[in-house]
Amino acid sequence: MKHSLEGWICAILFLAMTALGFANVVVRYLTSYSFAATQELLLTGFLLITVFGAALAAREGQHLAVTFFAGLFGTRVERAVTLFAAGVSLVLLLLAAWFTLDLLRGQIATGVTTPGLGLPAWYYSAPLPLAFALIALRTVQGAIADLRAPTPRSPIDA
Amino acid sequence: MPDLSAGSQMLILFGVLLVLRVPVAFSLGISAMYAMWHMGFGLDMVGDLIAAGITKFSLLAIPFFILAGMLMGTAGLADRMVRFFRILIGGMPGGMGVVGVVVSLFWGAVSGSGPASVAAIGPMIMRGMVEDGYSRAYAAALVCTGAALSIVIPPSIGLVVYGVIAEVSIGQLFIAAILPGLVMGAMMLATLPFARRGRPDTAGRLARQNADELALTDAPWAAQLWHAFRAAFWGLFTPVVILGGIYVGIFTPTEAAIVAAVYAIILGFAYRSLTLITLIGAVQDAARASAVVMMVVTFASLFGWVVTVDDVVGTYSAALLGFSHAPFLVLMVMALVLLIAGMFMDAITIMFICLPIFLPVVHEMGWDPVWFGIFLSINLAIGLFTPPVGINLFVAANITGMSLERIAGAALPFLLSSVLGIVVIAAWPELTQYLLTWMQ
Repeated sequence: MKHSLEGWICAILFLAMTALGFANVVVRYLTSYSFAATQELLLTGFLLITVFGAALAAREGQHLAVTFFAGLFGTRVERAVTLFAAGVSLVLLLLAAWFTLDLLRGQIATGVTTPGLGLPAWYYSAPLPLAFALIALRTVQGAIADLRAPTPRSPIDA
Repeated sequence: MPDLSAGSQMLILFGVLLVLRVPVAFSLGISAMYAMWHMGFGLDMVGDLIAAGITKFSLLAIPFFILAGMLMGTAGLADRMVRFFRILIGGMPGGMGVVGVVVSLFWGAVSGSGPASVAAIGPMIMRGMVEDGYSRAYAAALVCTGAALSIVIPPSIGLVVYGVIAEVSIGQLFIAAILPGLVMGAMMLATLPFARRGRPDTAGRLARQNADELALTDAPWAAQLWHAFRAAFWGLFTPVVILGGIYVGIFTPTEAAIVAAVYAIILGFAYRSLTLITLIGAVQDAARASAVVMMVVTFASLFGWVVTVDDVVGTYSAALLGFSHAPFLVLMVMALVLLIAGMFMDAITIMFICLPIFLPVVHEMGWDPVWFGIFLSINLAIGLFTPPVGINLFVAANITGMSLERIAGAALPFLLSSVLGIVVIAAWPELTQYLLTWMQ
């Protein structure tokens, strides 16, 4: 069990999604009536557990990568490669944070609403820039931990 | 590189970043953004593409199937299954090998991910097989191969992703995959008689440890079997809940995944093997494992956008079609590409890179996309246990402390039988149709 911010967000959201999804199946099966809004909430939860779950994975170096070639040329090359990979990941994640912020600003400016519940769309995308910044932070932390105590890791749960 | 299109440059950049151990998802993202910028589209739609890449209802099955698989493991269902099949068929000569294959097939119908299956069922099966006289490396190899079938036998995360990319019904894919999955299992069984087996060690320390762990007693066989069956019943019933629900049309695959997760939680609490703390831990692990897959899917959607706009696809699939007019040859070239790619990359990434190129060919050749999805996933399953990068091998090496090379070497007979299995599925496409036809 993990006590980080993203750990709690994932646990609570995912359990809530399971409950909501199950309630929807039961209600639909019993009454042939389904709440359309459920789908919207589930997909939003999905988006959030994906980005916050990615932060969990980044801290533990669990993102899928081709580790074979980097390990061929000894420790020094491997350390250089670790730094390079973290640097490139950082650039991408900050770009993703920036452009999801851009999306958020666009949604606020145009006042676009969601089809299911009619809520302002930016409610749903508001956590995205924060989450990508968090993945970036966890990537840096993961790389530092890796450089200090390099352990052979494999993406076990993918 | 003035004479290379932006799309081709993107592919090269992606390859270079992969070799330099940049995570697959981020390599996809950064090379796609480079290409978008290079083509003069700017990056304004990046935020939108990221959000849209994730929020697809069919993909929602992925986190729930991963959660269900993890909870079934935490709930101790694997132990109960191994115990039941060990008492049922483990007594015949070499029987634990058969138990290993059968449990792998059953577990494949509970879990949608290969490496997770190795971790869940691996240790108990390996200990049982060693007691039965198999070598440790052979036992590990059998588990790696059997667990790889998790991505063929429904529910399968690979098939969910294929369904979304190829726009094929995921429910149909699940049903179509059942018979080919069983054929692959039969192929594994057929390799068992050729295994070199030492004397069973029925009185040693390992045997006592196994007997302890599985609570084997001196009670009459039938009584033990009945007891083990009752203990394993709800676990064995899981595939009926998941596939039966989809089969008779009560659930969509996503709903089946949600129901399976709830079913696992209830079983875990009923068996008193799940606590609130382990539940939260399993939920977090599932969120993380699902995020690893979904990050690839997310950034692959940027990649896919460029591939479509730049028409990289047209060039490469035309080349593939121009290679030969014999469908079987083209298919074998595809299989070869998939097997080689599978030695280095994971199944989901390979699908996103290869499918845009393969699907137009499938269409052109008039092949059934459902059958092709099954064919593809079997090829990619083999990639889970071929070196240098076979994720199942990593997990098995971690569990046993043996080197990856030794396990990979022992997996050779299974590799050969799996390739034979591929040929059977390729030559007999109706195999994917029987259950679907019977359903209507």
